[in-house]
Amino acid sequence: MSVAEAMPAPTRELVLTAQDLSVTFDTPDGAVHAVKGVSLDVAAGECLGIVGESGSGKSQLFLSIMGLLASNGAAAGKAQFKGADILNLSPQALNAYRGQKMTMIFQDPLTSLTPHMKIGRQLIEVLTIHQELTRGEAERRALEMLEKVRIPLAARRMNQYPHELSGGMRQRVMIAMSLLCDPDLLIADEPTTALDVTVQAQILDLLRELKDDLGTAIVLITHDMGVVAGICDRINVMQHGTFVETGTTDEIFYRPQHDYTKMLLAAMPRIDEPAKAGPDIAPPDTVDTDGPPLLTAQDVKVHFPIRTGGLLFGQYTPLRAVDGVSFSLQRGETLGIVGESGCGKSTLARAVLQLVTLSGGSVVWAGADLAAKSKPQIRDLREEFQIVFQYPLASLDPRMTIGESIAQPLRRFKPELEPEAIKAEVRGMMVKVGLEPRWINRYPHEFSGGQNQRVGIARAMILKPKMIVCDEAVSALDVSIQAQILKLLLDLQKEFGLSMLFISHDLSVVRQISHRVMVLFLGRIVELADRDQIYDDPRHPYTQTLISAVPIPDPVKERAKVRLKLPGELPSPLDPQAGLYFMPSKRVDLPDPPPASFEPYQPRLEEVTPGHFVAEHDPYTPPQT
Amino acid sequence: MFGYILRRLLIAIPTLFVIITVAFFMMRAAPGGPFDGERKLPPEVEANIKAAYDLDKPLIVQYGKYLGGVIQGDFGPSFKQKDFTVTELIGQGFPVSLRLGLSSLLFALAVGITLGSFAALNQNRPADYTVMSVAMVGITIPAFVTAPILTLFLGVYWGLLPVAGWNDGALRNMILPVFTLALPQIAVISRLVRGSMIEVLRSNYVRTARAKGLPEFRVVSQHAFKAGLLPLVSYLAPATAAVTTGSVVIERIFDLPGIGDYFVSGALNRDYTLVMGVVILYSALIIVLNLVADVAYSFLDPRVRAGQ
Amino acid sequence: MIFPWNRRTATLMEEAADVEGRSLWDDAMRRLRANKLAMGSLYTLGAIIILALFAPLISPHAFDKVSFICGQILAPPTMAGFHPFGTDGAGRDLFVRTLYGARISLAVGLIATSVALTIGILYGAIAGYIGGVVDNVMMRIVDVLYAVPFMFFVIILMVVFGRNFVLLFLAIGAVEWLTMARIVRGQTLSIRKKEFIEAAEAAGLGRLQIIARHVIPNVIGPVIVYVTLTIPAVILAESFLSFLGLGIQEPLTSWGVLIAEGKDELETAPWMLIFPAIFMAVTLFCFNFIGDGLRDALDPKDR
Repeated sequence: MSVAEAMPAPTRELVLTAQDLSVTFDTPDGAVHAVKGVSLDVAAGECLGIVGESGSGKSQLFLSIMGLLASNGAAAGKAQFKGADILNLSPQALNAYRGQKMTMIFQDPLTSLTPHMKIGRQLIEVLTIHQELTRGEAERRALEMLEKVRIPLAARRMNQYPHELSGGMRQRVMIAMSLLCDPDLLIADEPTTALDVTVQAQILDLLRELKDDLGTAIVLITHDMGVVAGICDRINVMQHGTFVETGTTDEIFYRPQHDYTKMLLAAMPRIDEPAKAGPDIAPPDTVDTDGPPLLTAQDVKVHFPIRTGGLLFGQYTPLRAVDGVSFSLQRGETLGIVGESGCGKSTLARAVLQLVTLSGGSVVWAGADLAAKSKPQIRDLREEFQIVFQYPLASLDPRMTIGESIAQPLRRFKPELEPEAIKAEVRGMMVKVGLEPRWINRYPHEFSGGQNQRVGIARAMILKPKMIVCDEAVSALDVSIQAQILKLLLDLQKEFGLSMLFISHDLSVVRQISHRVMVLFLGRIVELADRDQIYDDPRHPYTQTLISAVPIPDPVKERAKVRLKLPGELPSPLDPQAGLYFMPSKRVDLPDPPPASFEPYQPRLEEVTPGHFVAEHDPYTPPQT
Repeated sequence: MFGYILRRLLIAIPTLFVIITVAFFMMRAAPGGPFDGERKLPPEVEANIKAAYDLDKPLIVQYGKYLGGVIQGDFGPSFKQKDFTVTELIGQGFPVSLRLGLSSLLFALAVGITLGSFAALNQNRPADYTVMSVAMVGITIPAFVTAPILTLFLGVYWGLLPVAGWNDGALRNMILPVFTLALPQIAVISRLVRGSMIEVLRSNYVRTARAKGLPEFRVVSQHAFKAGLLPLVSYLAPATAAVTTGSVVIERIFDLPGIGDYFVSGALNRDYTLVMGVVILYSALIIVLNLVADVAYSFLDPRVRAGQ
Repeated sequence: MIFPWNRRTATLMEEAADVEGRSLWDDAMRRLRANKLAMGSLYTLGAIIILALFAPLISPHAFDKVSFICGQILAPPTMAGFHPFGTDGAGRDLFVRTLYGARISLAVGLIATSVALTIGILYGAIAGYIGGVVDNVMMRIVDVLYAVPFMFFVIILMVVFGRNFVLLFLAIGAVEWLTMARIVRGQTLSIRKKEFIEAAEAAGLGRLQIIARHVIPNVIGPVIVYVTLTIPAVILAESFLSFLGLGIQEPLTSWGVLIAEGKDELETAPWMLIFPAIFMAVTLFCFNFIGDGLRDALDPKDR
């Protein structure tokens, strides 16, 4: 029973209610019941969190209320907006509510804005349609709203197209658009999932202000327990199309009743308490500290030429994806590599594995410089280092059985094995990664994401490599699956003394699994230290900001947390002096285009305490928000 | 943007040059000359004729002279129609072909876009199936079948429209040729528009536009239509190629004095200069249209514009 | 003595027979079989091919001789003397001629498409796989060729080198390869960017092994779809040329030739146009429906 039903407080002015609402999709494989008769209510000034994993039906529930279901979907039941029935109204009748009294923002702000219309026009049309304002008035209101959601240079943005804005800016535009008519209800469907963690923090702040200052009711749909902790008043937990548990935020977090809620909370990685996940998920004691490093990267650089103009032959500017990164990895050690999108972490991984060509520096594997080896020699070495990818389905050939995919490295490196022996090894490895061996002849599309990721890990592990690189290996998975895959990786590490490069944008996961952590910013290391050192005592302003931005799935801590802010606008990665973002004192004025010979000052890494390296930066205290 | 157009032009010129060269040498490689007529000419007469047409000079000199002429818009004398230059013949025929082709293309665009969008907005409903069946007919039944059948009924049996002839481009004479020439293009365009509109209507930004509470008409006209029609711009040049090719048949069936008709008779009587003139003209036309289409595309899609 | 862990593994391994997976092909074929239009087209096309192959052998008439049974020119369809489609202006049996035309038209369709397929796949795969500048130049060339009114060049070829049967096949094939190359290149490019290619690279496979094991099997689907849609386009191109008198020559015949003859006798003997036209249209319909059906079957989300 929800709190709302238990205590019918007369002060709660209900904005949206739904009773026994269900959504069904008619597909070629039969009817799919996405939402199975749920009831909910939201009151003014309240934020309701809808938490569930992929496929729980959480988005479809609200798309049906907004009348935005795909053409093969049908909704049944009852939904009322301030007492008026709105479910299954004609678009025309629904437009009395949609876009003015009840608005919605979506996950992917780039594809959700019309690409061929200027931002200004997309805002203005809402006002001219719903409030019949004149163009001038509408323009003024739109500009005001852009400023209200803190878009810098708002007047200029009005004349820009969506692709000219960053992801965070686009989501602000979406929010501004949804606020133009002072709505009573804002539905936010995974509004921060596609964004970097620092941008996510800013967007969440914005939503919180909205609720507090304007009294707008907010529905926040998300898979992330951390996101709801700091902002929501009540939470409905959704699984397989029904609410398995509803309650106030504190009830859900501190006194969960349903097993699914408990599981979600337990599986959620905690940046503040990595030990909470239990002894199973912690870096094992496998590091060989005395021996020589297994892998050494020395001043690795990867630059991509980007066309930036020129009449006939084009003028190219190097994009410094990775710009002078050095580190070493011991046997049995896990090095976590974190950073936001565009920081070069995936490129660095591919450079280490020799999957992209280095523009400079060297990679030394078990004492041998890989640059000195020929391509066939490197191919022969691949037996010893393997990779696990982000998107499990994309990383498997759709036309191969999973058995063939797992066997592929074996066939390449042990051609002497009989087919029966290969099969036996594949089955053995399938058991180890938690797949039933009788599935050997099945295809990737018959499996879930988690199962396919197990196949990917089995393929990487079948040759018992000395190192595997996990490139966002758990980022595309639901939290419950994430925990299982992490445990699998740690078990394999214990069993084989494996070394790992664990690349992720998720600081909480990296903290759980890594021995040491390296923070990248625009292709350069800003901080490198043991995991507890870096999380408990971050020295670089970027690391500090990053850590403060990670939402903690604990309402009390999250509400009390102090967030830090980065100074100003982020530099373009094409700017040769982008690396001096935290060291403006060393910037020099450059002509445009900068001379090709120009080499900016390179901030050095300084060892502040043994094993704790921090990049040089100007003294800076990040402002708090 | 300027640099982009310049680059495209610099590609177009060598393309045209290659087309002229290939066409020239192919024609000259033909066994048997244009004057191998019914009766054998006396050797001195033949030599005179050959000298008049420069056929006695080395091939490379002929080529150079021809190229020089083409640059100045002179396609040389017709080999078969003795009193005319190719430029004059094209001057007579091209306006007819241009009018026919342009009318067909515009008609096909108007009807194709309407039908395609209509089908997309009614996806998987009877209206959609009807439009798509008609489109399939348009694709599978060629103009040289529809033209005679339509002529038979509308022209011969019912006497509504003239069976053939140009009559200075009178509307009554235009209806049948334009319709039969446009029919296959209507089919292709409506399928193209339907496919891309369906994709756009399913896109996230159309969902946003609906969530904004815009009237359905505005959603379609302002947010979906422009993106849905973008693929058509790239289809412009292939469509022109198809229409010019189709006009060859149409001009023959309806006995219209266009250059398509000249081309076929030229090809059948080995009137090399005439055939080459037509090929060069059409190639140039299509290359220019390709360029226009690309530039238009980049104006319509701000993302492409930024990419350049 | 068996350790518990081993026993567990052993039972897991022997417990049940392997589950047979459904490959993408199995799924596609199941969807195709459920598509009535495509299956109907497949059977109709089969019937036309069988008729074209065997009917002229069984019929009492020859395709190029005046019928010795009735000897009448422009006879309307009649079962007397077995002229189900009537006779033409020279008194030849139209039924046999239509089916002879079918042989030629189908042969052109198949051979010219194979030519297009060979050139297109090689060109497209090379451009797509090598990428970079090579790709840029190669695709620029295709763009440029797209702009050429190719039918005119085929006509010049036919005029210059005489109306040669084989040349006709080659010439049409050489026109149709452009789209094939574009499709193959686009597919190769998108597959090359997929993570499973990188995974194969990381597994130590060489370039050729990757092309053979991963790229080609994944390109085949769209190529098959395009092939079924190219055949009707080629049949149309041939009939277009034959209609103008620039393709197949007497005494051989094709649908284009027959339709051109029929057009001239439309008022006196409409069956001369109608029967070849119906055969051609039905064949083209079938190929198009099969092609559309295959595309839906291979890529169901596009429906």
